[in-house]
Amino acid sequence: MVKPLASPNAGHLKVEGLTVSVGGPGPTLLEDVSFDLPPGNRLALLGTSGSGKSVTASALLRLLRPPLVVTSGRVLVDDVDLYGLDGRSMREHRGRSLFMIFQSPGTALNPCTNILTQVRRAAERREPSRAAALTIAAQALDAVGLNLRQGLQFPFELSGGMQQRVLVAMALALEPRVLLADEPTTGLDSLAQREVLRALEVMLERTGASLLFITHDLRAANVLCRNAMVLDRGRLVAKGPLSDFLTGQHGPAAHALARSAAEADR
Amino acid sequence: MSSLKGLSIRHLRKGFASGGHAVLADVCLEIGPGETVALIGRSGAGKTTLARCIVGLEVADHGDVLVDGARYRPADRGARRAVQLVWQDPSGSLSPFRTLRQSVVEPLDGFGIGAPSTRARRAEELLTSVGVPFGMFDRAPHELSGGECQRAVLARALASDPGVLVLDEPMSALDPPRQAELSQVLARLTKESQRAILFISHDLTAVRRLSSRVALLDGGRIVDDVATPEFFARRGHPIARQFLEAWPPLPFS
Repeated sequence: MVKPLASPNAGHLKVEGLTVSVGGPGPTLLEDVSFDLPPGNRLALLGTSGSGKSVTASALLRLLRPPLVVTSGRVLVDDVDLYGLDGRSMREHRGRSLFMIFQSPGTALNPCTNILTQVRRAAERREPSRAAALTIAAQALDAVGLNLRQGLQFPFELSGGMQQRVLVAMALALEPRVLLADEPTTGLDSLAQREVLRALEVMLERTGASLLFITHDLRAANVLCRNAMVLDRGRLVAKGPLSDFLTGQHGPAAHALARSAAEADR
Repeated sequence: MSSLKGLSIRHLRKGFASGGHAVLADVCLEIGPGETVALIGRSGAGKTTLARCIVGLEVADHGDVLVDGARYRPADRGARRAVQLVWQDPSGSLSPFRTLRQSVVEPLDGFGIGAPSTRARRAEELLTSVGVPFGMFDRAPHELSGGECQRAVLARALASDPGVLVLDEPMSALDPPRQAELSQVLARLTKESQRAILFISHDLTAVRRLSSRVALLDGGRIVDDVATPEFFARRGHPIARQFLEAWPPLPFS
């Protein structure tokens, strides 16, 4: 497979020995997780519920809440260790270096502000001129298939799939180097899913960002990624092309995921 | 006409703003005993509104819901036994202060089903029948996974032995192995029982596995109602075909 050419904006995400436990000495939720996402690459992170997918996402963004703590390991974006930053610099990196799209977009959007304004505020982090930021915001909304009339609506007036595309538009406006998407299509019907996946594809193509796509849906993973990793009880147990997962060569956890998807299809 | 068994929805209409457009314009749907009809439709099409109208959580502006040929009156406690609903989110159906066993005993008490001394035993049977392990009967919802809770919700809905079961996105919050487990339980339920089941879902995998017919709700009407194999052979309504075309393939063939 030909590696995509890294755009100047593509980030290199490197995770080394990330370990998360409950209150330090307590049970370990994530054990020695290491992986490398080279600039401009895409990788799916699969696993059943409770395997540690969302803990990984939160840990990458330094958003773990007590009693969960990172007991060891490093998260590097373009060789900057996020765990070595002070709180202020970390806030700068959040959104710009690593942008996260969550499963429930409703919680990530301000209920009292219209969509266009929210995307514009995101754009202002990279474009100080308000007029220029507004143009970027309008273009970003257009790129994910939302028109200006929808832009002037509030989050509650939009469907779940549309709200999710608003977050993709924010990512477009911010041009992060790495995009983390945590179950962005879960709970959507196939039409809304396709629109969100298309919006993500547009965002990735235009910004050249690297993608870590956290999902339990092998069909959705297959739309954006060729390669995937599997988390099982807090450990990374497999890595390889998605198309090989049914063969069993990537271990029992990958095989079980692939088999349950294939069997359900019969 | 009135000898018709199962669930019969006749010209149901429901709007939320007075004079505004109706979410459900004119919905007609028949589900016979032993039949499982999948209801699909775009978000906002009114699938959940239809579910709520059937069980009586919303009062329709017009039209009838018939159960075994008789008009369903949800205000009548005895009648309510016959129609049960399972939501997407199990935590909304289970009391956080009760164990699973207590939650399943509650409808048995409420409807006066069986002798009081037999109800705890009956609750155990129901929980076992949907695959909840014995060790979890006396745990509260917060100690259990979403999949385990959802199975307990199903056991609770089955407690009154309803002739009509409405399942509104029962699996969409679960991951594939948990979905597969619940899907297995539901497959057994749909094959063995003589219930009329309305299965609202946009999970096409589950639709294929569980339903005998697929109905499409669009513009407040059922615009398509075909046998499941016909639906997957793309012989349905153009919008139904759009749902299939948008469905990404598995990474392996």
